[in-house]
Amino acid sequence: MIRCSKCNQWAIKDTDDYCSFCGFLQLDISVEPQDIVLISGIVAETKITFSNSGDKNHHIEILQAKGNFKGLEFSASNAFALDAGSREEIGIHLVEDLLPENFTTEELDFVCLIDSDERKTINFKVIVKTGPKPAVLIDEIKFGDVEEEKEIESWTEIANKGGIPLKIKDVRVIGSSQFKIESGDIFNPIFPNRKLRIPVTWKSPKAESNHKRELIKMKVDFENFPESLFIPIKGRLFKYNFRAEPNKIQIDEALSKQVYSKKITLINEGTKDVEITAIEPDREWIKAVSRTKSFTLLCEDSVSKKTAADATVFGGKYTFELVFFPQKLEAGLNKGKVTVYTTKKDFQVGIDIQLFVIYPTNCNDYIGIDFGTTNSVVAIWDDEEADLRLVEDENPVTGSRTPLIPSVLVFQGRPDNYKIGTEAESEADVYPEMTVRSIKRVMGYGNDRVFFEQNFSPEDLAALIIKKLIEFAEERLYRLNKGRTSPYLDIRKAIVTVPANFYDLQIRGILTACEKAGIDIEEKQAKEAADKLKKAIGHDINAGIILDEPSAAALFYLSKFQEENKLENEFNEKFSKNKNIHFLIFDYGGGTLDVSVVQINKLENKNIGIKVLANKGDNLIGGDSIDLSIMKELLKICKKSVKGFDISLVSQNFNELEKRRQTENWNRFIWAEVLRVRSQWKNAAEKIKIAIDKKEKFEFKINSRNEEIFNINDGKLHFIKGEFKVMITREQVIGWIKGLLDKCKNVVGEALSLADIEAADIDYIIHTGRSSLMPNIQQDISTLFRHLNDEHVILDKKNLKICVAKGAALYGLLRSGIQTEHNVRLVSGGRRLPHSYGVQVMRITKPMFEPIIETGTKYPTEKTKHYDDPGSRFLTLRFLQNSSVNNNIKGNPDIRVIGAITVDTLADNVPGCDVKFMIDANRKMEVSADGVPVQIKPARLEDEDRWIG
Amino acid sequence: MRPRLIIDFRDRCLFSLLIDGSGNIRTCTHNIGEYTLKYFFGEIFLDPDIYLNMNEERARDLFSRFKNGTRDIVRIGRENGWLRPYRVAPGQAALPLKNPLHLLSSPYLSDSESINGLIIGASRIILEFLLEPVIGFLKENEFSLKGIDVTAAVPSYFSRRARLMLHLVFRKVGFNRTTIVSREIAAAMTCIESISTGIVNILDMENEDTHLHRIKIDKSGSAVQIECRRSETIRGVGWRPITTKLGHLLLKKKKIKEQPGIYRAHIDNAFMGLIFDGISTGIPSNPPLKVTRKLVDELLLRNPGKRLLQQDPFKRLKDSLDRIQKENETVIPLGMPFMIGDIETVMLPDSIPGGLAGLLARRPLERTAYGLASGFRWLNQNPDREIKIGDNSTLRLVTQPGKSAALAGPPSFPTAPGGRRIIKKTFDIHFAEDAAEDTLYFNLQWGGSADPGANMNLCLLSLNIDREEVEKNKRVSIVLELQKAGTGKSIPGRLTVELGAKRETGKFVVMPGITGIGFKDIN
Repeated sequence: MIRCSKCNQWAIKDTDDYCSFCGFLQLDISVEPQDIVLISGIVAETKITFSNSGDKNHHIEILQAKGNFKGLEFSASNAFALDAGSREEIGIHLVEDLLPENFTTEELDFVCLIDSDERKTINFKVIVKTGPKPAVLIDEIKFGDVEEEKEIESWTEIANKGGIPLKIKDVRVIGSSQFKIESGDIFNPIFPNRKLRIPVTWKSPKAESNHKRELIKMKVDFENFPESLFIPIKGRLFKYNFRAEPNKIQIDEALSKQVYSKKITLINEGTKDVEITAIEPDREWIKAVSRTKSFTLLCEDSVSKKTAADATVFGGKYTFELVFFPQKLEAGLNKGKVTVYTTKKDFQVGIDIQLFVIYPTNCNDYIGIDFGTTNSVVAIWDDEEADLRLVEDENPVTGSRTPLIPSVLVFQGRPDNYKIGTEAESEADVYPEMTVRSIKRVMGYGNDRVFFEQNFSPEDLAALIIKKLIEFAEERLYRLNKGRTSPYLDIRKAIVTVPANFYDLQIRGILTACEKAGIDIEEKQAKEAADKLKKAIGHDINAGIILDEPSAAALFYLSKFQEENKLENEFNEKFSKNKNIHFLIFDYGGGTLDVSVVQINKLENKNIGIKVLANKGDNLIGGDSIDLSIMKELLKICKKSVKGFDISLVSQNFNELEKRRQTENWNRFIWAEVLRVRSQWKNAAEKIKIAIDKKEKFEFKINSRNEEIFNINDGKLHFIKGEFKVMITREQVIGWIKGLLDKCKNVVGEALSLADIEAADIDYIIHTGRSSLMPNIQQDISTLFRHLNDEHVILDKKNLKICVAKGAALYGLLRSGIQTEHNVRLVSGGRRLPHSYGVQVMRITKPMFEPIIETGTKYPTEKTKHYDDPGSRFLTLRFLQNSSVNNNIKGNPDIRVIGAITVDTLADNVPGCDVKFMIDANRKMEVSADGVPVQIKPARLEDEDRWIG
Repeated sequence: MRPRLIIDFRDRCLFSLLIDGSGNIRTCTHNIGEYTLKYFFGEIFLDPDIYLNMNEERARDLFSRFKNGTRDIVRIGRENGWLRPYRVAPGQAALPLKNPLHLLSSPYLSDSESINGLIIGASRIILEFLLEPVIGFLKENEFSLKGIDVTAAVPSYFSRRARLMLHLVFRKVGFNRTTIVSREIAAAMTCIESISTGIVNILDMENEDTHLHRIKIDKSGSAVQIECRRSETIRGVGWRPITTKLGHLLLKKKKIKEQPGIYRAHIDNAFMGLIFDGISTGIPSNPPLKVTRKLVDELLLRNPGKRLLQQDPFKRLKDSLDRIQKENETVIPLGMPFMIGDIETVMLPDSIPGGLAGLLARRPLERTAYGLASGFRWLNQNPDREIKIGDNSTLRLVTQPGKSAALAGPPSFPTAPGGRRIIKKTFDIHFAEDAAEDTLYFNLQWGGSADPGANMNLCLLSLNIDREEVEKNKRVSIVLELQKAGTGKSIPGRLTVELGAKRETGKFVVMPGITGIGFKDIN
């Protein structure tokens, strides 16, 4: 028997463990420890010790109190024998692989069943936890693109997905010393399910062009987690190297009336694309002309990767233009700045501008301007050399100079920035929609154009060209006068020539253009000068600033002959017999043919007078019309040989083409192509015209490489492959243009009849105008004047294209110093109008032309006519001009609408209206109704639209 | 891959990108004269001369053209007197036309079929007119519209009707497939490659208000889930209030010339000129006011600009942004106001973490479209990838100005095709003390924002009540009857509001989860 440890009775049998008195279970078995903690990765196993201090042998089996947790194993086994007086160590292992997913912690109760007797148990507890489990939330530390020599912060985040706090031992960056880790809070424990941000600062070095990419990573070591974490650090070092070339502009002699422009190139030589957000000048007198002001300038690396075209992305370089307007400035030094902004906040490029502005002094001399349809010529008087000089236009590419300044205007980015001349001509094909050509053809009419959403009348456009021509002249004079007291002169005086058959409305247009261009049109002075001279020489004198082109040519040649003493004897002989000398001036230009009959008179005080007896012309048979005729014939031949060629794209007039563009919805590329091809064909025709003068035969060839044969289908342009070749003979060409040549002869006949003289009275023929060089034209005209020998038919190739401008400058010279002796004068009296002027009236139901001022009427002239419309208070009159004798309006190409007015017939309380027509010495027509000047609303010349584009 | 056109429909301008068949991104541009512009004007003005001189017959004729459709949208637009901003002559009293998509999203859109027909017809043609330069770009570059998929980013509050209209217009002009994505989700895709899991805040400034969206991006395996968790609307912070205030400051500081007759429109034009380069594009301003970036920066970076941001309602926005910045969360600013000088720096100093600096180098008007482009690039890198767009929207009722309360969410919606659910709620109502009669408005919305400004309007009902009724019945009952369509995901519903004997009913349709081609829905 054994004594019960509880009740102290001898009540326990040796064979039993229970007290038979109090029932207490007497066990000498203990387990240590009773509370066990296992942590995966850290304390993955432990031991528990069972001790049997009794004298009986026992069997122990360890069982889980509830549940079926699989992550624990006992070694050697969970069932074992525990002999009396012995100890047994049992290992407990945490099997991590068997832990459930997302397991963090669990408390497990174990029961040790002794001798398989359910009443005999001892317990212990195991707490199972996963260890600290680091998880990277941001698995790459991304710096993105980092500029050189900057401090940029980025970070990673580590979470603890384990069951106990995670402690960081060390964090460092491997592979680079440029990174700094803020160690502040990172060593605090990361509690389960919490995260920690580890900020990293990159102190970026200076970027080398051959920067090597290295593998850089952050290493994180933990105190209580065996494995280190490696987190890649990614970033691209770049440098901004973005600059403007040039970054400083200095113009030491900025002539106030000129407009200066400089090209600026933005260059990205860095390793990062630059987003440009604005190009902004800080002064009103500086304008930035750029196709776009918000764009991307790629770095070299991106350029190589870029494959698709993008209108707002440019590779490495971008050029724009800065335009300076010194007229808005004070004389002397002026400073400004242009800033190019980028999306990078502290990164912008500045271009410093300095202009030393010079203001001009008044110029008393006149310049002569031959404002031509295709080319213009400007002549100026050089006082020092006492000679006429021509203003030369410089080809920006070749540097060659020519006095023929193309009358082409190209707008560049803004309404006040434009180019004319050779430079404009070279850019016209690139910007066909911004180009103006042949504006002279529609002068005075309502053929307005729209640029930059603004309306430009032909006068506005001509004014822009004339203004630039004057600026060219001022610059030329400045260069000539350098070193003199007042090198920079303000030209306000100019003589501008017009074709002899220019209508009043066209003359009015030119005058308006001159006025807008800043020329003093001097109406008052002109009258005073004319009166003064009339007293001195006894004749009416033409004193306006508008001069007929043939008169200018006559003046030039007369002056030239005088200078060369060439015709003096012949003149004196005729004058001594009281005979007049007659010149026929055959001015065959690009756009028009003008024929004038000029009489040379002897005036008082040793003056010689030039009197224009008649002017006659045709606007539809100029050199361009010849080109067109040749072109149409070529197109016909080509169409026969090439299938699918839509020749109407070339032969249709501009207006029809524009309608087609709208109906078929052509995009701007197609439009530009059509314009380009049209101009190619016209140039080809012109080449033939010139070549055939020298050669009997000429091969005309067009192949698909030049893309001149095409059609448009479904809004798409199709170029036709193949070659078109044809041999053209001189005879053929003459056949094509014979109709036009005959018309030329008719015009000569009309001019003679208007002048009221016979062909035999003509003493000299002067051929001028660039189309005079055309084959057969001189011979054709000479057949009308068989009495003249070669010496009396003057074709001065050297001065052919410039004689008008020089004549105009000479005329200006004569005007500026109004001397009364030894001069050539233009006598205005006796000049006759080349057409009749009238209004439209209804005869029964037929619209008829009613002449008011007849053809051949001497001008200046004025006539008044009373009109009344009893049925209506308002009277509408259509003004017409007629260059033929046929007064039937319908289908008559010789009658043109000048414009229309509507007048209130009761404005003066008297029924009806006195309409007065006045044609002044400049052949400018004015109309007044009941004494009040009336503005004539100009009509639009539809046919001419084809040329102005 | 099929080319994809991405368009961000902002209230006053559009920005568009084209991802071509080879994956190259091209900016869509249009030309005004010689000037190339990458931002398209998002508004149209009405020429009063044409509009007022239009006789009845002509007006009827125009209406019939709406119905019949037309090929020449530009011509019809011009005949109707619609002008793009740069065609408005200086001094011309042109009236801006309300953006049709905003009009179609308004809760006040009439129930009248005939008026609706007119609005829908006109909206369609106005939208076509607006889109014409984008279409022009594609045609000029010889892309076939049929082969292009369109993804349009629109504000979250655009109604179903507005979205359907967009689908219709895109189909009508020739595109085959259209996906519509809420702008905040589109913009958040900017971070799709740089963030595994995290929060991106989208700060979207519109003409009048600003929306701040908190977007959660969750990347797991080959899928990314993007979901808007919360939206906040700050009223009175937008292009108009900012430019008005800056304009007046500039005038006060005599930085721009004060001239008689300066109106709000002139100040607006001057600031618009800053973005669209007014001089080159001919945006008129009469009298001519020129605001330069330099002037604005001088103002913003000095005291007046900073003081401005200390005042309400800017301060409210600033407080929200400060909270976000404390959490070190990313903010992506969008919208025209951020194109004005250094507003971004002033409002959000250091908002852009290093890793995103490259991505956010894009201008604020371009970020949404480039965000979508990033999304597509990420998708295209691996065919297993998918973008799931989460939707935490619920049916909500506007309870008071600036507040909405949730009525029911997708868990209580019928799930099986044809299944029905009826949801009843009651609300206490209070009658204004001095009024004898009043009108109660019940604006049912779909969205996740407590502020009605960012939610989609579904149905608006009104009840005329008097004091006696309210005192008798005190509670208004709201009944939602939902029945899932037999096919598809839409759930047409009926809203009934009742107070005593008074009862009003209206219809609506909800589409839980907005899906589209290329994106997968999680609902």
